[in-house]
Amino acid sequence: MGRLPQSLKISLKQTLAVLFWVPVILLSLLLVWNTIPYFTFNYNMPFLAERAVLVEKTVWRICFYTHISAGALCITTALLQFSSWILKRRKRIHIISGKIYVFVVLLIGAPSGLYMTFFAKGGYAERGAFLVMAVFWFVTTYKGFLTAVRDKDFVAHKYWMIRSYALALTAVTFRIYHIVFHELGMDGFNNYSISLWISILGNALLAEALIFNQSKTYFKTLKA
Amino acid sequence: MKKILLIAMTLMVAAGIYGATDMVLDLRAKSLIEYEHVRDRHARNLVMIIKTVGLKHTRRGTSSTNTERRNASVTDNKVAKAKPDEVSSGAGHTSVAVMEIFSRGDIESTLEVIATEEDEARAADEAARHSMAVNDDERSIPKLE
Repeated sequence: MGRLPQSLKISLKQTLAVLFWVPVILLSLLLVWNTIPYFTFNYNMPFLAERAVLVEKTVWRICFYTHISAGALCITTALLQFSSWILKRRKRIHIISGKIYVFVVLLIGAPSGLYMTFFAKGGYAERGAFLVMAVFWFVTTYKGFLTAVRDKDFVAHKYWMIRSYALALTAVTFRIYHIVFHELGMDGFNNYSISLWISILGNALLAEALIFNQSKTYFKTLKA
Repeated sequence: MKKILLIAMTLMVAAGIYGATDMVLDLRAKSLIEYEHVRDRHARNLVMIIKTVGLKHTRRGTSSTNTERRNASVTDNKVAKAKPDEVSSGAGHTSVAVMEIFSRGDIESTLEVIATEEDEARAADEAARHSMAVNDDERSIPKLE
């Protein structure tokens, strides 16, 4: 990379950004679109029909609907957060949508998700995966918020928010892996379990790789 | 800001504790249901055992005529086909024993009771046979008139 001319470097960076963001935006919007039918409160939808016993529980039902609402809002607002154009020219949008993202994650998304982990499909391995995800989603978002508002350390804020968004995006990547493994002939439950863990670990590792690549002192970003 | 973060952390901790407690209670309820299933299955197996024991018991001990034997056999078959909670009526040692099992829930002692009853019936059978043999012997003695 060091030997490449500056213009080629920029164009390569832009191409990679397009290759990354176009599918991410489209799939995120598709995910949000797919949550809309749940607000008809029809309990015969496949996801809910599979969890008919849980739907009977009022707390679980409330958590489910608040979680998918929060998830849709987080995914949508997060799409605005990584735009350098918005950050430079429309900072107000970044701050408002950032606050929405943070408060929705901290007050609704993560707590409702944490409650639901205990009733997640699968055994302890799958529940553990969701538990790890809920806790880290909360912690990374919390750290991201504190570094920006309290410490005014916007570099650390960026890194923590990359981690937070990577965990939020597991909702998207999980479905991608699930479809890919299904097409490869992997059966239902193994597919579910493997897709879940790969999406969490894969996204976390990708986020760390990105941060490692951007920061000169990687380990300091974990302490901030 | 501090208040919101405090609320968020409280919510997170509450969700964790409430969820974990709820899951444990659910698992407990599930295990109780499974226990009920196992107990029912166990009871069905016992019905089969008692059917066998009861059938032997009836044939050897208490039923002396063909009609009684046939009736006892019919009762046993009914018991064998019946679900555990349906075995509450009917005549014969088998249904009595099954009822006893369900009322006491003590499988081992009930089986002991059945075994004792069977021994007693066997002893009574032997005694009856002996008595009949003695009577036959008595009958075989020519009367001196």
